[in-house]
Amino acid sequence: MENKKHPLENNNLSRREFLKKTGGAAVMAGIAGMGLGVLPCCGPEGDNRVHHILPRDVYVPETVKRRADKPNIIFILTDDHRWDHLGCMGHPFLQTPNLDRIANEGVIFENSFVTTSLCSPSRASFLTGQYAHRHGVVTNHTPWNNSNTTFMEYIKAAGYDTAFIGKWHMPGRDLPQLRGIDHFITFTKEGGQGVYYDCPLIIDGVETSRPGKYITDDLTDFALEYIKRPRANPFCLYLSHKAVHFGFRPPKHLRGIYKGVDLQLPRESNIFNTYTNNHMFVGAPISMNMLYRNYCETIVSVDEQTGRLFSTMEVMGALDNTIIVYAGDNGHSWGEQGRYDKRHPYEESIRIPFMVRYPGEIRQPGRRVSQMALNIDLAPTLLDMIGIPVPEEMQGISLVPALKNPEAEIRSNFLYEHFPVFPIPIPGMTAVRTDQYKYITYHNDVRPAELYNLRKDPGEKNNIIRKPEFQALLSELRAELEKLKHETGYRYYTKG
Amino acid sequence: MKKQTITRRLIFPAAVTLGLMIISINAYDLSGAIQNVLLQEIVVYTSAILMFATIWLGPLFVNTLAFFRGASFSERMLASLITPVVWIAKTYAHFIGIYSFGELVFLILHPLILGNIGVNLLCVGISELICRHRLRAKGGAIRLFEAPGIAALIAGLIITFAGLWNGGHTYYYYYMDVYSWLFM
Repeated sequence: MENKKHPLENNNLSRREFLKKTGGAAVMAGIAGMGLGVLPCCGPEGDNRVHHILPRDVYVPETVKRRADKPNIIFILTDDHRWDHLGCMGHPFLQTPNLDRIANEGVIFENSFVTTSLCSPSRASFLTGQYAHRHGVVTNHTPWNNSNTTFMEYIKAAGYDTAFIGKWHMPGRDLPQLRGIDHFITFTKEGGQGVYYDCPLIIDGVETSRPGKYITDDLTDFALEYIKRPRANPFCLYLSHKAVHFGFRPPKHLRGIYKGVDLQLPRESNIFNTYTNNHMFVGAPISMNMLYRNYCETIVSVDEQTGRLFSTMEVMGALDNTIIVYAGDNGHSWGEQGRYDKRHPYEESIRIPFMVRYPGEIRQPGRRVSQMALNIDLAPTLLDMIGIPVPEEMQGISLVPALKNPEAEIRSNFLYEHFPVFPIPIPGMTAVRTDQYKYITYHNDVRPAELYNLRKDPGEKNNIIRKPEFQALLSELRAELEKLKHETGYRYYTKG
Repeated sequence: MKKQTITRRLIFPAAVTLGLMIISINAYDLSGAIQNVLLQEIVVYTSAILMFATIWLGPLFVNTLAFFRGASFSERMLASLITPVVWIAKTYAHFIGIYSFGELVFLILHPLILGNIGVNLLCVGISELICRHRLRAKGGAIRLFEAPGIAALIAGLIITFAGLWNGGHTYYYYYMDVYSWLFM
């Protein structure tokens, strides 16, 4: 195994130099309070130790810190896994018994969405509980701002052992200076997208080749090793898979399991969708059906590896004192009205799986919640579950009331936003989605606005924006969109 | 070889390819509305294949026909590139209003845009070799290798090879690095 210092790391910075560089912010943070953040690898050349960085002002009540029975937390994030590609959501042939188990023994939020349907912005939203325009990672090109506070910081300060294992995929000259992470395993290959086979990992700052390894298995191996470590504290594991992002390469033993299966893609879909309507700007010239088959087979590998996590936790006797959350970072179109990929505001692109298993907190396990949950709700929900007050800077809301009470109201609408990502010909946009309607506007009106009645037209095929009977509703939705933009501090980013 | 009228040697070959591209794109886009499954499949497959043939491989037809109708190399090149240029313009239309003028200029170097030009140049070069070989076989006094045709062939090969190397990943990531350096 070849180990070398990763060039993106701050490996030439001594602790003193680092502190000097971060001086201003650090002094302010230092004045404000104490935390327990760490920075992987910022020591002198050849020094791979993990160094503590200056603390941040994260408030965690003493009662939470002292609580002895704090649950473990496992958050599993997959890539491009759309909401209906689960056995428990009625997929026609895909079988995901282990993922279904999370839903069957917990709660599945059937109407879960991302606020931006793109990997990096959505991932930053999961971590910060904020919209993209607030945390600043508005596209896959805009860098992570190290001054962002993640929920892991709070959890660390509450007395947890913490690990981030897997896809980081946010741009920046260096890997992030994540406070609150004890153990950081990620990859930077192919712009942070990683590859399915032989993907080099950066393990606490040390680039390590992984010949012969399939990435979902490999990341799960590290996760299991982390879970099994003897420890005095509870742990919080952020397991972030490359799967099931483009490339869609299943492990060898799953290749071809859906060969010959009727894929039951939408009627308007065909094998050429990936080559047409500018879709080649987001993918490779491979036929739609082949990609889709591989996509489904790759989901099965995620299911298998989730099963390994379950087994280990059960053997350890820790399963029922562990909060397990599973989510996708955005959806994916597979030929709906000829569409492919994500980014756009239609349901298959913005809707994600979001499931929570925690017997200690959830009433009526197996319940399906139809209210709208968002990726920005993860951070406040996890903090709320362990008793930390939700910080004001988080724009999501805690889903704990819905976990406890089937009748609890969550929200009546939400803001969707997308910023242009060169070189993809999809304009910047904002939209408001209610439980019945979706109103979409494009920046500078480069495309006509759209309005859909989601109950009558779930496929969003009939734009009713010009119909006279909807003009009053349209005015309301316009006002609601402006209100949401104002409330969340929306601003448009031209560079992305 | 007798030089035929400009309509026959230049406009006709270009118009056939361009016309087929326009028809096939529209047929493909409308195919989703066809209710009969078999008919829909026939339209989808026929239009998609025609679309790709005209956009990417057009010069194999255009250049060859123009060659045997007496068009000069400049005329053959012009006729061959009309369809790809129109397709690129159509593609560009989807980007206008979203990105800045500088980004639109930089888009020319995108592997898909530059690659389209490269593959079409490659097809011009291949067509030139085939036409010259056939004409020589019929006793024509013509050189097999002429500088313009070979230049098109080599340029097309280089662009195509660079675009496809490592499954296209290498060029794309360099392209995006340069983009970030220039615009971010």
